[in-house]
Amino acid sequence: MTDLSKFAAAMKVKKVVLCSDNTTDKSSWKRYFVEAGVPVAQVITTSSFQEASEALNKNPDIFMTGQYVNNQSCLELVDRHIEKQPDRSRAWTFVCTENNSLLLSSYLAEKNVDGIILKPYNSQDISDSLGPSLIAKLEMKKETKLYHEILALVKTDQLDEASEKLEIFKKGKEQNPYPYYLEGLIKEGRNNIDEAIDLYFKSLEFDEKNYLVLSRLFDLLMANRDYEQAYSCAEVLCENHPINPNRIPEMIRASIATKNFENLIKFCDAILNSTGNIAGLEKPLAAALIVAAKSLAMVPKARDLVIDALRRGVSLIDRNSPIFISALETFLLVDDLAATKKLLDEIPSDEMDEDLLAIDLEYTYKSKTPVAAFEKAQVLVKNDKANEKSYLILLKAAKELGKDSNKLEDMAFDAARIFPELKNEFLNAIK
Amino acid sequence: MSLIINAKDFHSIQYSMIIINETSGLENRDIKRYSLEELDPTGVKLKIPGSICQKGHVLGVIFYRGKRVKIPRKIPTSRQGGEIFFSAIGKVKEKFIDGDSDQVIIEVQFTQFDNHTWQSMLEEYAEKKSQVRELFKGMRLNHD
Repeated sequence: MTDLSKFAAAMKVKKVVLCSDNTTDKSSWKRYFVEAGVPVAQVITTSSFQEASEALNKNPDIFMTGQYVNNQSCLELVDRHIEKQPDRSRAWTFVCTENNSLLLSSYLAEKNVDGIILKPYNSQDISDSLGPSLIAKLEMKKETKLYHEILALVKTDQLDEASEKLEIFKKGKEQNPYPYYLEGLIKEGRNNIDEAIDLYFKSLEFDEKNYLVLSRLFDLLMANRDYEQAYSCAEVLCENHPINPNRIPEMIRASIATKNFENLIKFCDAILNSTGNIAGLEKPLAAALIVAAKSLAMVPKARDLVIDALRRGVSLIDRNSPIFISALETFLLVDDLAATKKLLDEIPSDEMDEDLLAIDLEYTYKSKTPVAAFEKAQVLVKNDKANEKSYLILLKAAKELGKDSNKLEDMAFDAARIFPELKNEFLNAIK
Repeated sequence: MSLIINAKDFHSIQYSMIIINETSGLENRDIKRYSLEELDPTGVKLKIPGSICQKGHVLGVIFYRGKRVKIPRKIPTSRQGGEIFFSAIGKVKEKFIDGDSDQVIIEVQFTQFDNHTWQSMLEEYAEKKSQVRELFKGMRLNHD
């Protein structure tokens, strides 16, 4: 089928649902599909999430939507259409968006969206973005159709049928990555995770950069807590493909688990230095930067890197987050007292909890005299605001002030009454 | 070992605009209500509030890079420099009502503009579209 009339004949039986709050979008998309051969009566145009949601119940072959319609995200509708049409050889889903970052494209492509129209666009852009996908599926070879059928059977949990069809698909494809990929998916469906992982690795022998296989394998290795291998997958993915933003937190986790802290800081920096939208990634990025900084804090040559990572990390989080406490502790660990003070000054003293008060006390201990720290610590103890760290500083400061050994012991035992499991630490502090 | 990422993957091309109606002398900064609908080699199709102009009016269209730019109180007379990426003078060739909304679509034909900068903007969008199409093509057909 290569000529226009055959294409139009194939399109004649298709049902289309369009969703946009923009009249121009709807009319130009409709015009495209009608000119492609879809009868006008089979093109339903909708202007809201709700209307489109109802129209999707009619199981259209083609669904095309703006990413946002009346400020509401329509990606849920995209998911629903793909779910209702698991055999992707017979259905198309398209999205129109102003966000032209490759991250969004990667995210949507992985969802099995068939194409994106980027705004602003003209009629040629519609044709260039939709045409290749429409033609590719209408002209699809038998074996590619079979591949999609097997994928659909896996998605709908019909694993025995999928296995049967896979035997046909496999023939003559010993050097092709896809039979192994499909078999891996079937094994995964049967919860044979180790076998699935082996099959994905086998698949990569024939196409080491294959996005589908790498991303599936990465997710599975992470779930299996095989962080070393997951990290290696992430490397190949990052080097060869735009990243699906949903996978960034897991990539961060893999970097932390494999102690690739310096690389993790560079990874986060690259994301933060980009001019794109990182909404939703602030917390994982901040946590990654601060965890990496904390882990590198004792490496003398890494001090500048640590301080820079901490500064970037704290700029992304609010002041009552546990990560913020960790950042302050690390600033103190690398003796950046000025940064510690600056951040402490941002928090009114009456809003400080025990953790922050302990950091404030440690700052006093490091930057002022033992007398000042001792007096401050005593106030905390008296007001029942001292945590275990504050008690340790109290004891250290008291020892430095030359307090009598009996008095020191009394203080250590008082502390141990409140934190019995730390008795030895308290006694060591006064030795 | 390292996770190499291309910071450009995060980048989304975005422009903000302000419109000066040279015929009426009014300047409109309601940038949230402007959207770029179509780019032509010598003009642009915009969606804007209906009250801004009429067919035949002459408009000044100023583009700033980014979505959340700080637009200075006073636009320089030269309409160049600072944060301004591109500016043009053009005539409203067509004006259509956009459905039920109070927005309209206007087609502006540029009469005075820096063709070089405008072409670079068109190329930037075209390159991005091509990258996205390649990405989808790569995912779609590599098992054929």
